[in-house]
Amino acid sequence: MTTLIFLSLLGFLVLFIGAFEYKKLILPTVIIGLIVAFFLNAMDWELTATSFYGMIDYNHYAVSFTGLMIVSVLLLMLVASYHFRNEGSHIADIYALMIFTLIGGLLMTSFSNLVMLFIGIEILSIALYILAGSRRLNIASNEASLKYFLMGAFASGFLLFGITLIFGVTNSFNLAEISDYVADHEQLPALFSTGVMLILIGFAFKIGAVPFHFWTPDVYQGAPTLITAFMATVVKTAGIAAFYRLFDSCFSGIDGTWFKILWIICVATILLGNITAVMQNESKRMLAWSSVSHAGYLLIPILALNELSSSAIFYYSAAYSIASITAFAVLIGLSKFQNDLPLDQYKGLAKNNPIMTTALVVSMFSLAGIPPLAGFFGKYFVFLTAMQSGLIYMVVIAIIGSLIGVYYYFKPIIFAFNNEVSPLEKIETNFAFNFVLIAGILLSLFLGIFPDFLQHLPG
Amino acid sequence: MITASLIALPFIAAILLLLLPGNLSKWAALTATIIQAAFTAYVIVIFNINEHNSLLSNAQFIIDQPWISSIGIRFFAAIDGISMLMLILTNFLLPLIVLSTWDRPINNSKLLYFLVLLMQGALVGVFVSLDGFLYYIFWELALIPIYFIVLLWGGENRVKITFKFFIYTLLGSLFMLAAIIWLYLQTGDLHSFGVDAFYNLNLDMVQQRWIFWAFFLAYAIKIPLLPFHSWQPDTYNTAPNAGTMLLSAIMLKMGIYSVMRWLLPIAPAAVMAYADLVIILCIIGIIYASWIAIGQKEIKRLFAWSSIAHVALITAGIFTLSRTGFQGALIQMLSHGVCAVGMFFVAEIILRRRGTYAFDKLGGIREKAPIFASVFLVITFGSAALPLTSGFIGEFLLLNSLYEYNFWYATFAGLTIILGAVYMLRAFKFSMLGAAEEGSVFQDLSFTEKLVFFPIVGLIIFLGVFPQFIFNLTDESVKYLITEINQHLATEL
Repeated sequence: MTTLIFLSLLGFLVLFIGAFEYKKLILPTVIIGLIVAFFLNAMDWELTATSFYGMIDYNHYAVSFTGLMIVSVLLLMLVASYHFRNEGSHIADIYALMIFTLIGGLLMTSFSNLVMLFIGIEILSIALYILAGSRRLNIASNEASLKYFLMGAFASGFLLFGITLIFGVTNSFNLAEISDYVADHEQLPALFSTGVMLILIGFAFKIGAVPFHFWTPDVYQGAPTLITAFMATVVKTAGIAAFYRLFDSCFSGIDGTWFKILWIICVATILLGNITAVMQNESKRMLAWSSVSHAGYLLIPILALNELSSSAIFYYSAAYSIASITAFAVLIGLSKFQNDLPLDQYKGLAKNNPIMTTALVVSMFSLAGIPPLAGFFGKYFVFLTAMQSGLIYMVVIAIIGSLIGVYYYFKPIIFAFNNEVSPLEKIETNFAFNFVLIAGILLSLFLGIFPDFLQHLPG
Repeated sequence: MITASLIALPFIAAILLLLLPGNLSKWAALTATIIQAAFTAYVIVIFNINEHNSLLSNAQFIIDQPWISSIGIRFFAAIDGISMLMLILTNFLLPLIVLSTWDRPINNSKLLYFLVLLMQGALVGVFVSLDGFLYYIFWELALIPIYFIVLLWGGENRVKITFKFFIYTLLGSLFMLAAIIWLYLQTGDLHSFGVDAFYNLNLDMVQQRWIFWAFFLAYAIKIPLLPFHSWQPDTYNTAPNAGTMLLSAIMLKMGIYSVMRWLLPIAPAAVMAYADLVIILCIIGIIYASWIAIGQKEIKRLFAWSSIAHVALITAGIFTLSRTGFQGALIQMLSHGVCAVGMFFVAEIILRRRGTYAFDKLGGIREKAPIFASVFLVITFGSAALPLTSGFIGEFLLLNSLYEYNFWYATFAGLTIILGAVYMLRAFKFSMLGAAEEGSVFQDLSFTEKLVFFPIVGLIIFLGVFPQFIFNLTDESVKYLITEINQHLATEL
């Protein structure tokens, strides 16, 4: 449990360094801190006991997801050093808030008590509201922040109401006790099912599943690109991890009440996300809609709920996070502080920017699910999980969805190799930025060729 | 080890190529493909055609290593007679395809050769993989380099056309993936993607029908069969000629090969049930494509349509499920590959010298370039299946198998002999014969161009005169395939 304490201290340390204006120290502190956190987290692998009086169960599942989130944040921080290089004063605040978000995410993957879940979600969300509005002189950023806050508040309300109802029925917040209650009672009161429904809606809001997705495109577009990447990867991973953890441990026995609704949400998310993404002409909006569709794929293992589910979710999140971070990094390199980036600005990228182009191709291929990249195996594990539970129609719909996906993921690539316009000049980058691109390319390839490496981790 | 090295060599060469300076890349690519060809020749020599074992009867050089052990995916590959033939096709044609790009300045040639080598690795992988999942990975991997080759060096309208090509072929393969996963889940407690495990599944008729369509869709799009062919003419036409050679000579054989390896023995009853439907589709395809080929006004489009007609006949032969059909299909695949490289290189040379494919701007080339015209004539004969050329023996066996299957099928498919001769001779006549325009020049073949053409001409005649070599190589595998299918059908009836 040292990771949690360490990260909190790290967040405060960064704030203090920022307050005393030791600017050069900030990035190294954050990077070293996160690396240390990663190893502290890994050392908890053998931990079996619960912590904080049974509020947190830091099992393999939690360790794996926390590790993934730390790596994602680490990569994003490196991009941040490039993205915010001219930002000046409040860079330390941004780093600190990202670390606090990570703490929220950590709680969301390791809770064994509904109160802890709620606290985790709130820690994560409140930091994010600020991050979304971190470009405070920009109207779009303000709008994003406000929209996200309103929608997030609604979602939290639903979630809290659901938790209350479940507490009302079972007289407990503890996951194990709720699970026992479900096992003992053949006939569950209607209040319980209502509670499950409300929690489901709360989560659907948080991860941006259709029909609770309205906020995603505007918020994703308005927020600074790096924060968008952050929301699309770390936050989504945390949301899905929490979703699965709760439903797997408590509500797996009563899937009759929520299965159909989740099935519809899942299908709608995959199809609507992909189809709408096709029509986008703006890169961030396109990636936003694509992230909606990926939320749909991530819901399939929850729907299937068998022994393969957790590893499928974990592997998919990892593949998706890495590819998304790489794709957003390319976007950041290309956008030069603008918030709107029409897709055709990729035109002529290939000629003078080989690393960025390779990163773009690999990340888009991985998101589209083309072998042998990580994204393909993510889809494969999801399909396998679904078929194991006999969800054949779901697989067919997911296949159609990924075909549609290929269409828009290829657009930037085709633009990049367009040689009818004058090629873009070489884009100035720094070492950290190139490091992220190369790491993204290699990780996508490596995870694709050796998927075993991650796949069995959450167990 | 031998199988693994055959797969690995092109990939390693591709990566090494990236590290070399750009002006060396064509030499590096040529060296790599020649080494691979020499290695293949060595493998042919040590390949024991009389071996009998439990895996596909004579699969040799087996490599079976765990890859993703948690879900039973193995690196499982071997070479049997049919794979051997496909390796000959791929690895012997690749140096010629690389050489065909020699005289022409290419933008960013390093990337082109990198993609070509990547493609070769993926193709070899498809032809030797015996693990369903591994096979699927290579199958998809082969699509990516060719997509970029056409996108980056293609002609008019390439963005739209390549896109259609990509989506179309991906559509087919994804359903194949779903079928492979489904088969995997049927393989009992110790799940496996191995081809042997798939062959031992005794699926009932309903299951077989589903599996049939999931696989067949992928293959019918790749081959392509009517009515899934609409991506093909445009893609062939817009691709740079090296890309068209890869597509037509080798890549579409992936589909035909896969029918024999992955479809027939797994769903034999469904294949029997749909054989008539497929054969009729093929025959319509032969006549339709030949008819359209006759009406073409550009030489490359004509070749593209002729390709559809040829592969349709090959597929029809396979669906007769007979030994002659299989043998004919195998030798015809090789012959078509050789002729396709030749034909598209003819188109390339015409484009280089005259800057157009249109017949009305060609003509009179024979006077100026007699060697070129003679070479083209041999290729024309090979493609039109004149006796003593490679095309004849394959076409004869295929028509023979159709004749044994159903007299009327053979009659209509036999039109291919006439129609094939018509369009090929038209192509020859309009481009080579007639009077040349006043003062036009047409340089005869250069040294490297001869270096491409002479092996092709040699192969066309050699295969026509001594086809026995190929039969010896594949006979054991074909027999095995037939017994396997019959066994399945017997247990089901």
